This record gives sequence, structure tokens and C-alpha cells, in this order.
Amino acid sequence: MTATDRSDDACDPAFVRRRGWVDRAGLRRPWIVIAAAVILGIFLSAALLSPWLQPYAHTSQDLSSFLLPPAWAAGGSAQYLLGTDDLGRDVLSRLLYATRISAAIAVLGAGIGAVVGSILGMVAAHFRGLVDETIMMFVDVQATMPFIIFALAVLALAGGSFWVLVIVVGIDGWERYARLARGMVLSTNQAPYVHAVRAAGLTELPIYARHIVPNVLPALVIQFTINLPGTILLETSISFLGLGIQPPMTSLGQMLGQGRDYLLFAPWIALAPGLTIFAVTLSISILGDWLRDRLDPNLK
Amino acid sequence: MAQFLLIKAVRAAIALWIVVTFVFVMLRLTGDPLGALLPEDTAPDIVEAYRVRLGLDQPIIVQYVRYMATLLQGDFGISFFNNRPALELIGERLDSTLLLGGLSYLLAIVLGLVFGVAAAVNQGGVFDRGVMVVAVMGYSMPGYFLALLLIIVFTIELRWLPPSGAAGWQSLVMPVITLSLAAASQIARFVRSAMLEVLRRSYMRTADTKGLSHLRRFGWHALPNAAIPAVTVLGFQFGLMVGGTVIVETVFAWPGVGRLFFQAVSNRDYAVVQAILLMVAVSVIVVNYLVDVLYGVLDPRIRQVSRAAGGR
Repeated sequence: MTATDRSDDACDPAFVRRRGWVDRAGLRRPWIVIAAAVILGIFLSAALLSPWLQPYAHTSQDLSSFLLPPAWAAGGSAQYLLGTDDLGRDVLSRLLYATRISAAIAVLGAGIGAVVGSILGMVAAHFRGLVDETIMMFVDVQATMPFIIFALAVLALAGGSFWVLVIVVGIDGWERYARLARGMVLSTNQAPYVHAVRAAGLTELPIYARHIVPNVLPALVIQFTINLPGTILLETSISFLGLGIQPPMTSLGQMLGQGRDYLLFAPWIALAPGLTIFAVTLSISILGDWLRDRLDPNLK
Repeated sequence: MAQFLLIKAVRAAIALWIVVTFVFVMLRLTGDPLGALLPEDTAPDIVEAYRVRLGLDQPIIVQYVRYMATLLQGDFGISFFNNRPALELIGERLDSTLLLGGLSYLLAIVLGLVFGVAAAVNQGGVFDRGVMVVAVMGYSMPGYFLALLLIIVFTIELRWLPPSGAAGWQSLVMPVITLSLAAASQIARFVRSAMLEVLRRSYMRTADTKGLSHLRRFGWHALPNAAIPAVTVLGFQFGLMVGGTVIVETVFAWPGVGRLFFQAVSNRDYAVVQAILLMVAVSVIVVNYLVDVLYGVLDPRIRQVSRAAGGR
């Protein structure tokens, strides 16, 4: 059955039933979106408030109770809700702290990529010609290369630290903003109102600041939400392999990488950060898709 | 068509030059290679001797020209760690990676196409929603976490599959699933929206009113037109998959180039890191060139447009 069939057979009872399904599914969609927003909100507040929520410092060890299972499992204790790791550190405290670090890297990194990429895209669209060709050449190269491989090489050779990681993660994805901003500026530049303000004698910078950027901004924000899961996955992948955030600092990927050695005896060490990453990226993806469908019906 | 191929080839060559130069700059900027190569308490005169021997005392521009010259001669240097040519080390592991990557790429394309088309044909139905939910989840699931979940289920609980290594087809199952899931999800999403786009076209309505069978309408009219935009995603996915092999091969201890790269990066084995980066760049650029060409073959309009726009 296809969309064309339905519009032709509106009186067919089977069709009416089917449409009921679609409508109910359509109603259900915002519920998924609300659930995603709530989950994201919880993790975001956990990241922001983690210094006050953490029952213990993320580095504090209790060697008398190492590899303790979560509170609800046999042998667990209410003292350590999500259990402890191989050094007797509280998994919940580490999870809260790691969520904070991973969120900070992802948001800062994605922000750098968004700003740099958008500016380069606008520059390309404004100057055209050789500048445009050169920038777009780099965009094409960046888009095709498997960035994580270059990121791993840079981090291994330069050493993984918070800010190096932020910059490396920020480089990934700039090309999408550049491409988007370039395309939108090219078309906005042709809009009658831009011609009008240009004819009225407004200089270039105010035209961009007041007229073009506000028009391009919503699309860039949507692109940000679409890119964010990828940024999170990149940072956690690098840290998982041990080349990102270094102890005593920890991130979700690094926690997972450490938990990998204890899968057999203490799977909760890996499961807690793994499920957190999955829940957060899934929620952002759902929200991003929804935003895009809402604001840009052409892309549906 | 010849002009189209030429323009694309020139662009591919420039892209390759950019990456090669980037690798050079990156390897020089991230610290003194001698610091990684020699023990910390090496006598200064020995450090100097090494510096001269490796040509690191020359001006950066001379080093760059020498670097390009040796690459053009096919010389990718000697591994500091194994004292063997970098290319030889890569060659030994290439088969394993091609097997793993090829199977995963194929599986991702087949799954993505089948589920993407089926979802589009079923638009709004239960099947469509199910496929899209799984696709969003597959895309959001970090590969390394999926790998650990598979190990927990199939190795620790069920004891069906080995956790790592390369012993028979059983060792391939989990790496292939891990590597192909995200790609299959994205291809399915892309194929579905391309297909929906086509189904809205007026020629599909014409085909419908002509009374053509489902098979003929979808197979003959819709699918070839939907395949054209879907081809672009294949080039993009290839790059992502190459990146994914590093993680998958490391987690499952698969003896391929991805794992070699991780080991080389951890040991600061410059020659091997550089050789693999360049090999990846060449393969990704070649695959994307082929995708571009295929795109031009499938859709004559692209050839015209790229000529008018000076190659894009």
C-alpha cells in the first residue's frame, strides 16, 4: 500500500482503519519527543549539578569494597547505588563526573566547529571565486576522510588533554556548517529584501549581522543538534581507546574502556556509562529529527 | 563525459595532496619524533647524530620536499618498533581488514537498501516505524558499546562465539555486526527518504493510473531513480567504516590494519602511522571518485551541472 493508494481509496474501510493507525502513531510521536527531552534534561542537570550530587569524589577509593555490584543486585550495598569499580570507587559518582566532562567536551567542541564552519561558509559565499573554491576543497576533503583516524594520531602524538580533545573534536563536523552556511548565504543574498537594504546603502557587515545571520541561524542550530550525537560518539570512542581524557580525569568513554576488562565479573562498570551515552545520543537524535521535520518540511 | 572524469580526477589529486601535506604538518607539529624514538636519557650528541641521519636538522621546506620525493618513490619508511618496512607490516594484515570491511560494507548496503525501500513502500505503517526506530537506535549506538553488549550476550551468557581473535567464521560474526549496524541504519534512512521523494513524483502517479503492477512500479520506475541519491551515501559511509575498523578490530583483537594502526599510534611508530594514514586517504579518495563517476553515469544531468559550476 502506498501513499497514492490511500488518497484514491478514502472510502475503503481498510484505509480508514489504516489512517487511524497513522493518526495514533502521529499522536504518539510527540510522546517520544517528550520522553527524549526529559531524559536529556535529566542527564544535562546531572552534568551541571554533578559536584553537588556526587556522593563521593570520583577519585576516592575504598579498597575494602571493590567490585561491589549495584544496590539492587545480590551482595550490593545502599552505600554504593551503582556499585564500585576495581579500585573501590563509587560508579555513580564517577558516572556523574564523567557525564559532566563528556558533555563539556561535546558542547564546547561542537560549538567551535559550528562557529568556525559557519564563518568559513559565509566567507566562501561572500567572496566566491578562488576563496570559495579553496574553502570548498577543504570541505570536500574533510567530509570524505575518516576523521577519527587522524584524531587518534594527533592525540597519541600530542597527548590527550581536555583542551586538545575539545579542539580535535571541534575540527570534526565544521565542514557541514560551512556547506550549509554557504548555501544559505548564497540564496539569502539573492532575496529581494537583501537587495533592498543593499540599495539603501547599508554596508556589508551590518547586512550580515542584522539581515543574513538571523535568517541562517535556525538552520545552523538544527545542524548543531544533528551533529552533537556524532561529536559525543567521537569523543567517547577516542577516550574508550585510551587516547582521550587521561586519569585522574574521566569521561564516559574512558570509564567504559576501563570497564571492558571487568565485563565478566563486574559488567555494571561498563554498562553504566554505555547506557548513559546511548540514552543521551538517542535522545538528541530524536529531538534533532523532530526539530528538523518541524522547521524544515522540505527535508522530511 | 571525458571532461567530467578529468575534472573529478584533478579534484581527487588535489584532495590527496592536501591530505598528504596535512599528515606531514601534523607529524611535525605534534612534537619531536626523536623524543618518542629515543630513550629520555640519551646523550645529546647521539640525539644530534640521529637528527642528522633522519634529516630532521634540515629546514622544514627541505624536509617536505624529501618527504614528497620518498613517497612518490613508494618508500614509506621503516617501522621503529619492528624494524621492518611499514608497507610490509600493512600488507600482512590487509587481507583480514578487507575481509572484515568488505563483508560489513556489503551487509550494510544490502540491509540498508532492503529495509529502506520496504519502509518507504510501507510509509506510515507499523513496519516503517519499526525500521525507523531501529535505524535511529542503530545510529545512536556507539560501536564500542554494541561490541561489549554482544560480548556479554554471545560470549559470556550464551557461550556461542569467541570474544576475540581470528579463528574461523565465528570470530567474524560480532565484528561484522558491530561494523555494519550504524552504516546500515544510515543507508536505510537515506534510501527511505530518497524513495519517498520519488514516490511523490507525478510519473509515479502516471505509472499507478496505467495500472502497472507493484513490482513494475517500484522496481522499474521508483528504485532506479531513488538509487541515484542513495549512491552518494555509499562513498560517505565507506570513510566512516574505515574509521570504525580501528575500534572494532581493537575491541575484538582482529589482526587487521585497524588494530595495527592503534598499536602504531600507541607506540608512536611514525612510519607505520604515516603509511596507514596515507593508505586510508588514497582508498577513501579513490572510492569517492568512483562514486562520483557512478553518479555521473547514472544521472547525465550531474555531468552537465558540474561542468557549468566548474567541477562541483
